[in-house]
Parts: sequence; structure tokens; C-alpha cells
Amino acid sequence: MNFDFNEEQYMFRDTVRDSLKAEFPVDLFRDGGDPVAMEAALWGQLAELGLFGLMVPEEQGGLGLGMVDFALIAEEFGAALVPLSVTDTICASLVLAKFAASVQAENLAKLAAGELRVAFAVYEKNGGYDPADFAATIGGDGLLNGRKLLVAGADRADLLVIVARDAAGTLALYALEGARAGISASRETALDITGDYHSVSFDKVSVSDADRIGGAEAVDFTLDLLAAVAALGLAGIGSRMLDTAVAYVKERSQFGQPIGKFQAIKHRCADMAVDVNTARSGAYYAAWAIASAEEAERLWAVSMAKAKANRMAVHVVREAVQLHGGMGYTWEMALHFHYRRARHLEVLYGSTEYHNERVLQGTMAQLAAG
Amino acid sequence: MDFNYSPEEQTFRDEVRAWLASALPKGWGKTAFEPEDEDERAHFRIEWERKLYEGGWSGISWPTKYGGRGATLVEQGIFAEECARAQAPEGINVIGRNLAATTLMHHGNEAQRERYLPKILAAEEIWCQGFSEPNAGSDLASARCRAVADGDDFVVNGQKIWTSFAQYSQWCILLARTDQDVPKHKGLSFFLVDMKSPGITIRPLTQISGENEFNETFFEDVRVPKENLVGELNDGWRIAMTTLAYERGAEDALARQIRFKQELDLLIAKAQDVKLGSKAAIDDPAIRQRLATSIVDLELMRMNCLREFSKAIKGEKPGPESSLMKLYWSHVAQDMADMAMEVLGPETLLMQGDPDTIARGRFPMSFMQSRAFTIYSGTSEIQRNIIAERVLGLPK
Repeated sequence: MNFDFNEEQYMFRDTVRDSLKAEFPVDLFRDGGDPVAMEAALWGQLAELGLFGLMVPEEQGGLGLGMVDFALIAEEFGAALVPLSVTDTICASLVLAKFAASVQAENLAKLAAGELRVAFAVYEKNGGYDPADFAATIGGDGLLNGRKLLVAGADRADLLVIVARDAAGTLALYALEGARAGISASRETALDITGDYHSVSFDKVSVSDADRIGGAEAVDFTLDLLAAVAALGLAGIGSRMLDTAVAYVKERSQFGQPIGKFQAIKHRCADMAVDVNTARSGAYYAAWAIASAEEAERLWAVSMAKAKANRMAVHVVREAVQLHGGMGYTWEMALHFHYRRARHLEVLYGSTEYHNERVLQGTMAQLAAG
Repeated sequence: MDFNYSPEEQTFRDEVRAWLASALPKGWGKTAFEPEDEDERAHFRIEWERKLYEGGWSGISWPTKYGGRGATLVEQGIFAEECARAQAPEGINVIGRNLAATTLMHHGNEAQRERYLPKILAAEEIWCQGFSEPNAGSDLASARCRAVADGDDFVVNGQKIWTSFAQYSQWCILLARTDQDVPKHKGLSFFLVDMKSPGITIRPLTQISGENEFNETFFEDVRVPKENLVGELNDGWRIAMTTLAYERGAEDALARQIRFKQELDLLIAKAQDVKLGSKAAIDDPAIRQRLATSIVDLELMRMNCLREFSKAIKGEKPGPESSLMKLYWSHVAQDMADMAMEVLGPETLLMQGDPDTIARGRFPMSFMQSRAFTIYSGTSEIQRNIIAERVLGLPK
């Protein structure tokens, strides 16, 4: 039993943090940078750091590391508002390697080199959060029909990983080239403007067995993975917003003293710190569960992490804006980029209520088993 | 990072489980319970602690030279989990083990450690804590209880308050003023006081729960030998900060988490039994959400503790960060106790002894007791000040 990261993991985190601070500051968004162009520039830098190959097996040129090694990086990605097209691609490496390593060997090698973009196509209009309610389906004719929402960077994705029902009615995960006939992406106008999101239509797309990554097990793993990475990203956002707010209240003077001297301010900062610390505990545990736990514990750990991260992020980001006063409400102060991303991650990968229900069911099953 | 237990840790768990099964009375937690009378219960708990010591389960992470097992906090955590699973009684010498002993390990001299630590482990000597005073609560550093040097002794005069278990204690860790003429933090010293000393009067205080766990303790010309001074004269504030870091820290919190989890498990079980009209309480979606929120909060309390354990095993000493733990758990435990009152229907209001009570009145009792969580060991407001100033670096 050890609930800590090792020295290498902390050092790698520091390297990524420094690099993102230098190359991907939030000022770029504030100054009107185009998120698509910014992402393109960032992509090469992350590839140089070897980040895309982090979880790709060594046989395909990756580092062969796992989710625990990615955890602190995912947190930094959240803090720095790294576009979700990047996290999707890195998460995809884990899914492809776990469920279809030999079929996807070539793609994994490209992914490790930073030469393959992957986007997850999961959620649907009126589909909610439970994949059992998703409508995208492959008919008996082998043709996929459906429409997915909020797919990050879909218009330039080399590979789309989609959750769909197969002809037998089973939930499954497929990897399709973005250029395949019948697939079309349309840019959405989304709350989060730190990345580009698309609705993707699948109109009579021909799908074969070779495209199949796995069945329900792969779907469940993927959704848990995305939720865990969202929880880590939210922990990063919370942490960054806490630091930003604390720095501001130390500097900002009113009534002849730094406002951080007032208990009304101090106590809010302390509550934020407690919340961030706890959300981290949950998100780190979820990362470990993705890497090492049996399915029941994984699901339970991930849902706890996501439920807590959701509540934490809403609280902490709201407080950060409040503590900046009128400045916090200005575009120029740039807090709103984190505020937007926090809501995006909170809402997209399972609401607090959705994950709460899963937690309760998991707990009741544990209690029934004694 | 690894949440799996090593084969050695697993063996340790099996041993604990087997021992608990043999040591607890037959039907424990089902037909056999702790005595209802508070005083009888206290003595029952002291006996249980002595039994733990005889079984070799006291001081699991303590050094062997003081009678401990020399194991790690991981084993300590496993032991706490197994006690929870078995619904084993709580100990009463919490202040001895978690506060007096830990403080002596950091700041005591060898003679003091050898004299006191083994008897704490054996539950031969129970301890209480003489820190707060009627006019020195949150502003603890303004304590006025005085200790004046006189020959080979200090003579103590003053009053302490909220001294839990003073009525069962042989010893007290006492914070007293030894210099009136310096700034308040710099004139305090840390003493070990024999509770049998002439001049000590204990007066019980009744809590809102109706219990009499804590007391007012009066010191009138109480002679304390000079060898019972811990550390340097006038260095008591710094030493007391160590005590408080442990009082607010992960080891204490983990033991509590396990009690809270037992209570929540019980609540979930009752929510399946209790009908709110045509359906069980657990079938109400709003109640499900509230139960789940508490599950998440409490499990993450455990995760917070385990993260701190891993830091402690690496050699990090407890500091102001322990306030993050305490502020967190005190509020989530209170939320849970409040929630428990609101999900089981009207009969939740019936206390122990009533024929229609649920779970022997546990939930209304916890509801009353839970108000103390955000007050003792430093109020939430004090914890927030500590976090803001000493963890986040905001100006004083």
C-alpha cells in the first residue's frame, strides 16, 4: 500500500508544467489566439516531450507506462487548459493498446510519434450519460448511423473512436478513420472556447469487424478512463484557480491592506484548499483504479472521483471569480477560460448525480457481499 | 502508487481479523453491545484497550523499545479497518496514545519516554489534555493557568476546561504560563501532571448530548516536579503545536473515518429496511443522492488519510497541513449526521430505549454529538486561519 507518486513521476510533471507555462500560457487565449492554431503549435512540443507515447507499448515505440504515470500530467493539462484533442489522443493510446494492440499496432506507432490524432465520439443529443441509452447503431447491413456531440478536434482527427451498438444489439467500441465515407464533422458553438468541438454525423458508414476495438467491456473502460481524466483535469483547474486567487488577494489592496488579510477572504481560500486537496485524493485513486483495479472497484473509484471533482470545481472556480471582484468578471482577467473548461469537464463526462448513483450501487453491492 | 496490499500486509490483516473474532464477546454487534451506562462504558473501553495491549495490538507503528510493534502506518491503517469491520469498541486513551505519546516522542527526554510511553500503550495510565481555558479557547496562547518555580517543583494554579476523560485519567498534558512578561506565545510551558496530585478538582460538564465526557478541571497550588517539564522552559507553544498537528492529523482522522463509515453503512442498511409509506427509503431518488454524497465524502476522507500516511512514511512531519484534514472531516461528518436525520422518516426522532427506535437511537445521538466536531481541536474558523496563513501564505 502506497498512495504517493514516485520521484520520476513528480519530475516529469514538473517538466511538463514548466513547458506549458512557457509555451501555452492562458494569455494566448485572452489575446484572441485561435485555439485550433494554438493546439497545432502545442502538438509538436508535446510530441517532443514524448507525451503521446507515454502509454503506448514499447514495441510500438512508446514508453510503455500506465495511467498512474499519466495522472499528474493530466492534472497539469487541466491546469493549463490543454485542448481535449490532446487528452483524447493520449487516452486512446491506452484503449487501443489494451483492447486491440495487434490490429492497431501501426496506429499506435504513429500515435506515439505524435502523428495520429484521435477523437472520442461518445455522447449524443438526448443520450444522457448511460451508454445503454445511446442511439448510434450498426445495422444488419454493416452500416453505421448516428450522430455524436462535442467531439474534440473531430474535423482533423485521423481516427474516431465511437461508441455504437452492433447488429446484435451489443454496445461496442469502434475505431474508424476520420476520412471514411459517410463521416462528416460540423463545428459547434460551445461554452468552452479553449478548444474546438464538433458534432459528427455517421451516415451509412461501412463498418467491418476489423474496426471493432472491443465490446461492452471496452466501452465501460473507455468511459471510466475519460471520466477519470476529466476528474484529474478538474483537480488541475481547481489547483490553478486556487493559486491564482491566493496570489491576487495577497496583492490587491483595499481599506489600506491586502484583502488577503481579511478573514472573510482567508476563510474562502482555506475552504478552496480543502476542496482541491480532497478532489486530488479522489482523482489519484481513480487513476490507480484505471491502471490496476478490478472492474467493480474501478467504476466505484472513478465515479467517486468524478462526483467530487465536479462539486469541487464548481465551488473553486466560482470562488476564484468572486475573489477577483469586478476584475474577475472581465474578459481580460481570463479566469473565464478555466470557468468554461471546468463546466465542460463537469457536465460532459458524467454529472454529479449520474456518478452518485453509480457510487451508491457499488457501495450497496459491497455491503451485500459483506 | 499501489493500493494493493503486500503478502505480509495481507497476513497481518488475517492475524488481526482472527484475533478480533476470538477476543470480542460472542454475538458482538448483533446481540452483544457496549454498556448503555456512560461510566460502565468507559470502564468497558479501558478493559478493551488493555486486552488489545495483551494481544500485542497497541502501538502498532510505535518503536519496539517503547513497547510498540515497530510496524508502519499501513499496518496501523489495516488494524483500524479490521476493528471497524468487527465493530470493535473504541479505546478511551486516545489522548494518551495520539497526543501525549506523540508529543513525548518528538519533544520529551529519554527518561520521560521510558517512564510514560509503555504505560500509555498498556492503558495502565489514561491521559487527558489541559489546554483550553474559559478565556483561552480559540486564542489558546493567552492561557492564564500559571506554573511558578518553587524549589524542585512548579506550583500550578488555574483552570482548564473541556478536559475529556479527566475523571478516568492518571495524567494530564498541561499548557501553563511560566513567564508573564513576554509576548503570550513565548511564556508558555508544557507539563506532565499527575492527576492524583493534591489540589486538583474535577467538575463534570454536561454536553448537549446529555453525556458527561468532558469536565472543568481546577488546579490549586498543585505541585509538579521539575522533571515533568517537557522540552525547554517557555517553549510550550511550539511543543503544543506538535500535539495539535497530531490531534488534527491523519492517524486520528482514519480512526474516526472508520467509525463514521460504520455509521453510514448502518444508515444504508436501515434505509433498505425502513419504509416511507409504500416504498423503502432507499428507493427515493433524492435520498439516494444524499446517501451517495456522504459515501463519496467519507471515502475521500479515507483517501486523504492514506495520502498523508504515505507522506509520513517518507519522513514528512505533520504540520499545519493537518488542518486541511480536520476542517474537511469535521464538516463532512456533520453533514452526514444531519442527513441521517432526514432520510428515515418520523421514527428517526426516537432515542435509545424507545420500542420504535431505529438502530438503538444511534442517529439522533450522533446528530447531537456531531456539533462538537467543528469546535474541538480548534474551531473551523481557527483551522481556516491556519490554512490561510501557514499553508497558503496569506498575510497575518
